[in-house]
Amino acid sequence: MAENKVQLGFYFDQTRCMSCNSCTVACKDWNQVNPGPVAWRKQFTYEINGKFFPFAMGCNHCEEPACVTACSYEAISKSDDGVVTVDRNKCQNLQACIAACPFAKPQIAEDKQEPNALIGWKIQHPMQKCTMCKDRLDKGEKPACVQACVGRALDFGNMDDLRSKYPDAVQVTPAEFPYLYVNNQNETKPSILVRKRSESSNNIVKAGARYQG
Amino acid sequence: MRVTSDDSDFAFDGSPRGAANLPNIDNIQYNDAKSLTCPKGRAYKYRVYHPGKLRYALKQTKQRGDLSGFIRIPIAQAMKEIATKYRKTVEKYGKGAVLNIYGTSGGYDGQGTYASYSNARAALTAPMGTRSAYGDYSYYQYHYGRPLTGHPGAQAAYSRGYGVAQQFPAIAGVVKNVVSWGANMLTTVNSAAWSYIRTFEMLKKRGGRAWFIGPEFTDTGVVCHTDWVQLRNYTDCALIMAMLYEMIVNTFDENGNVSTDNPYLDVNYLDTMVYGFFASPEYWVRLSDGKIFTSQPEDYSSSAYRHVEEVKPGECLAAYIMGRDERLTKALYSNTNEGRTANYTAAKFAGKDSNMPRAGLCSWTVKGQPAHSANAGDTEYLFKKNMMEPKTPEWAEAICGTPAGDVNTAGSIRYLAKMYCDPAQHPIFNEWAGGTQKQGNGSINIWAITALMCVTKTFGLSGEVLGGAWATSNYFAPVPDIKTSHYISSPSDIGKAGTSGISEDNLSKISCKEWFNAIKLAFSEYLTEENGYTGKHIPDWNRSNRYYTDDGSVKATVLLERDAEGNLLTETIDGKTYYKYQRAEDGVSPVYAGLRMIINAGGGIMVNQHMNTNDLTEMYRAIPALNKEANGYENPDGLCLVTFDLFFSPTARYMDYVLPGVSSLEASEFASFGGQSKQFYRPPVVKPLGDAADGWRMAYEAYKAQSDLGEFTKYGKTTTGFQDSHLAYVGTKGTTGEFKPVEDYFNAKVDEAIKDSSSKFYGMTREQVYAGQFTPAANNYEYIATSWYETKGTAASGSDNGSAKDEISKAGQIRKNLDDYLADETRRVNKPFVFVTENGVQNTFEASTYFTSNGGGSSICDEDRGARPEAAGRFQVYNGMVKFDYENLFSKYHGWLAASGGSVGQSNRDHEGDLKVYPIPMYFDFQDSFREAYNGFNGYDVAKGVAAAGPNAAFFSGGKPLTMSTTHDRFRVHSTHDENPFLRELNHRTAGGGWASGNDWQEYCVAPERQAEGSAAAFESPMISSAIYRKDRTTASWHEIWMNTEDAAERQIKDGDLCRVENPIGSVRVIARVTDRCMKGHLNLHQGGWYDPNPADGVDDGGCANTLISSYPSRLDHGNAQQFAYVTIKKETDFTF
Repeated sequence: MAENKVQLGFYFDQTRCMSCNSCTVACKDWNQVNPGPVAWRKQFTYEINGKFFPFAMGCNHCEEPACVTACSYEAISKSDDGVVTVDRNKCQNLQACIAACPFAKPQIAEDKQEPNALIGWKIQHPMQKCTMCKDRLDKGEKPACVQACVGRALDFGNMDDLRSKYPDAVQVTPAEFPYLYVNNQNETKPSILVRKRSESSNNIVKAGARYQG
Repeated sequence: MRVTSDDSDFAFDGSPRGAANLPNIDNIQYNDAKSLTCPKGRAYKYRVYHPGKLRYALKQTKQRGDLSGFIRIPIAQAMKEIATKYRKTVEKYGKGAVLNIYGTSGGYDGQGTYASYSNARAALTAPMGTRSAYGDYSYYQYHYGRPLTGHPGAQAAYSRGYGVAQQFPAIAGVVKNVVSWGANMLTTVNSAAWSYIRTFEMLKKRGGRAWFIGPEFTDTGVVCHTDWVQLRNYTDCALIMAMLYEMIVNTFDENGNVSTDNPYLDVNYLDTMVYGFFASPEYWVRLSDGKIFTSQPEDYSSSAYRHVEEVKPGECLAAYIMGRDERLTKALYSNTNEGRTANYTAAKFAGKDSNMPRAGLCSWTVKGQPAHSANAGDTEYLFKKNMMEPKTPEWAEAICGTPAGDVNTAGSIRYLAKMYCDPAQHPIFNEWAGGTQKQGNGSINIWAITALMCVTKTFGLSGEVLGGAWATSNYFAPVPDIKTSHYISSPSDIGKAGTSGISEDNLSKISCKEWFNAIKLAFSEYLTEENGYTGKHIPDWNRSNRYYTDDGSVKATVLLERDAEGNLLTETIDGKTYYKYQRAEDGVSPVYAGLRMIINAGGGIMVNQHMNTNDLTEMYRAIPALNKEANGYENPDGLCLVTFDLFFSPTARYMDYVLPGVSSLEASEFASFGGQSKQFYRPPVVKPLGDAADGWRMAYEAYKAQSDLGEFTKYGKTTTGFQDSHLAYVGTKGTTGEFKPVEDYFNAKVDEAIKDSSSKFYGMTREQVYAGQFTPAANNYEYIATSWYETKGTAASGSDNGSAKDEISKAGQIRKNLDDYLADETRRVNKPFVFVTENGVQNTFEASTYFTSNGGGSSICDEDRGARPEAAGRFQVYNGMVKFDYENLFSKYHGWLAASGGSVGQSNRDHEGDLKVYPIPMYFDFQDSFREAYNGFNGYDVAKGVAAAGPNAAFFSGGKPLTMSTTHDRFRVHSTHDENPFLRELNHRTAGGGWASGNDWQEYCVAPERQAEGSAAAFESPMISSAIYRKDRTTASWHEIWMNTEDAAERQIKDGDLCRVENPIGSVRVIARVTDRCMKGHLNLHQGGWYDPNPADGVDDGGCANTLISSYPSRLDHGNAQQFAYVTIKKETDFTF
């Protein structure tokens, strides 16, 4: 990335996320995504070795986005502020982006969720993904998910600023967060910092041997 | 339409919110509890623009539940018919036969002035009013269990604080331990979520520990708590008994001597301050100076003395805990100075009987024999079999799961027992969740938790209360801008109909959840097999009575006789005075008034949110629909069910009248929200469709109907003001004589403010004013308590405002007095403590019961009232009032109606002739309660009343049932919003599908349009989910049930499998969510899914938890045991696509 360019990104506090999904619903509400399986931002509480790890994630607007390079139709691009967007008019259903993204963030709807194609689309259901609420950023507002976060677990901004604001936060890598890499482990330098929840956050006192439950 | 919420970083006064330059800890402001919109709010557009929104008033003309019987009628006609039916009913039966049922707009305050339908139903019932109810579905058993010990910290727990000030001790590191006996705060109360998260974050940062004790590790547990101690549902009391056992054996040696090496318990404290843990003789205490007398003083009067009933050695709590362990039978009270255990109270007791032990062997009866000499094999009840078992940690581990462990293993029973007794671990804040008390023995759980707090001397310390800032009147929450007068005030000349009704005094209240039973009382004749009522969903109802529960409040709904002026008459039977009841034609039977009309202002109580959906709907169908015959609404005897609803919800489907409501975005509203104490006006943003109207318009229409019907006369009295009451209500009486929307008044107010240069709104447009009313509060400067006794401004001080917060509370002062007293040996041995006044407070905590709320003394026969035990002034882990109230409440209203096994009142006997209700918090094994509720005891057939195998005994012996709770769901909380597709996709899945795999948008709850008045439309799907009815594999989705990984593997169930969950009450189809967040043996089906029985097999495809919940009332108080189920789960094999 050129020196004079900024990289916008997200911050996620894994110790505060209460899995309320205000972010995921606010995202669908703001971005007019109909009910149905496609959701630009998703939230899960992952269960790893009997411990629990909430995570809310949209597109990570990677520094080196695999989706951009995968698309032969140049439908996906990265702007000067680092935001990765899809031009839905250019998408021709190659789906290479879907295979390339480690986090399964590019998505395609089915007829029920997206009944009407727009004029200009070349196909019935072009790829869609998080825009970081570019329309809101342009007005000086936060992305819908960040603004909606009840537990103040989400933040966004210039990645350099986020690093200094949250010095304890870590980068998302396959080693740190293997469960997020649902598709592949491509190194894309995701623009997200995480205050990581420790394995020892919850001590679980399991039922004893005498228990007949 | 898009949803936004308070995004301001600045308060009304311009100060930055959360700024670092204000008094704080670690440069972070804690007293900014600004709440942000939850997912339900974010999903609101699909509520407003839902194709299933009701648009017209509907009237059932065939049979309740038959959708083809609904015809469209004008609102005015509906109002007139409902008002007519009301008048006919109260004319014949009095107002007691009508109930404005609990639910949205009816249960809590502050839910809106003009949008809610409370005013509309108040108008419909204005001539005489209705019977009132006590308790509520959320906190029924909490209300009952909370006051039983008198512990001051019990007042405010439940995480339900009214101000962030209560969080500061935790934030500041004063609180060492938080123990959550269940917690689901973040999910249940979004407005409190952020403050709760911050509090726990800081508590942990400062070394505090937060223990989550329960069967399901909720989101609250994951985020906030350090430790999850697994505990099977319904067994909290067993765990606490084992902790108390551990405390006793670490205090008394086998010879009953107090060990000198760090005893867990402070015996002097227990003798002085805790009643009923140990035995005590009958005594009298002089209120003026606290002196104890063990025989009745010559100058005794009830105003000068408190009479304290005996706690027999075999009946105290310690006797139950120790079982056959004899050590406490040797621990005698002493009147000599024997060092550390000498105290005034003990000396007084010993003075009466020098051989008086602190406990005897347990003498509560087992099949009529004292437990210590009974054969435990004779009883079917597990809790009675266990009566003589020492309640050891190992005993509890088998029941609860919580490991007995050792004192060094965090979270084991032994560790927790020591922690509670270690002053270095205090203060311990205890909270509980709704599920801790919505059980068969839930009020006993609350009692046991507070008993634990009493015994371990955790009271009067800073930090004993803690609460998320709750979105009601938070006077000290920083959210509302309450100091300014920027609001558009409520016009004083509208909203007042000016009617004056006829009062009908001395009417008893009814338990808020017993209305279904009062319908049965009234309409028992119709509940026959011929009418389709099988009764099979209440397997423990023997049908020999007209009513199911032997509950005084229901039996009190017989028609009482009054004189011409309406005063109740009395009659004396066997020396006791009862209210006289009207006799039926046979001259003997009472007139069973019961409940004949119920108006629901919204909410799902009448089908979905009450226990046992199958029984309720069978009952509604069996009783003739009000308008099955023409002009049925003129029949005073018929059953009339009315609801306001937004959708054709499960409840609306079974009503006689359905009135089309509007969502809050379509209504004019004057309301508080987001923690604001002050209300303000909000204009409608979307126009209602069809005849749907807000509460303002509906109230107008209701008064219009009353006006047309004219004044009403009864008892020689006549109402006034009904003429033109509708015009008075909207403020046009004597002027235009027309309906006027409420927004007209607010618009006029705004227009005034715009022109007023002193107004904040000067020069704005109307739009700007409406958008600018919400002005965030400034950060406040609440104190930060940092020392033990500074329990300032708690409920115990009687005040939570003003200067009280800077003063030590009453509880804190008593604690301080007590610590001084116990440390001063001379005083402790020679002087009394309880009832003594020192340092401005009287050293007493008064235990009580939920007495006043349910009728209390006035409902008990005059002759019996004097026998009611009095409060000891000490913490009561033995409370004789519990047993007395159970046996005597409402006796004056129903003494004639002998309960089985007794001559009067409620029978306090189980089928083996032993007590059902005891004055101590024992552990009642949940299996016993389920065997009662499901008629599963081997040796007794409730239906036949004879010894025989219970019809459901096999359920308990095979199939390995699991306990099941019904915690609030994040995406719905209760039942409303189950129609919202944005939220449905978060907790529903297709069969075999993964996260968000279902999408039944426009295939769920879509009601057909009716174009013409009087028309009935054909419903293409008898089910709410047409996707399931049509078996569309790609869109049909079911609710998730949470189940443990091992339990799933044992049953060959995989995550995403469609499953059948069953018990003798009902069956549901749901999708398995296999997770380690449920402990083994436990399931969780989040409550509020919409009851949607499949006509093919009767299985509820809506996953409504209440389909599996029995009608069985909670033990002490006839409350709602709505998180209390025992079920089997298996992979669904009969439903195929």
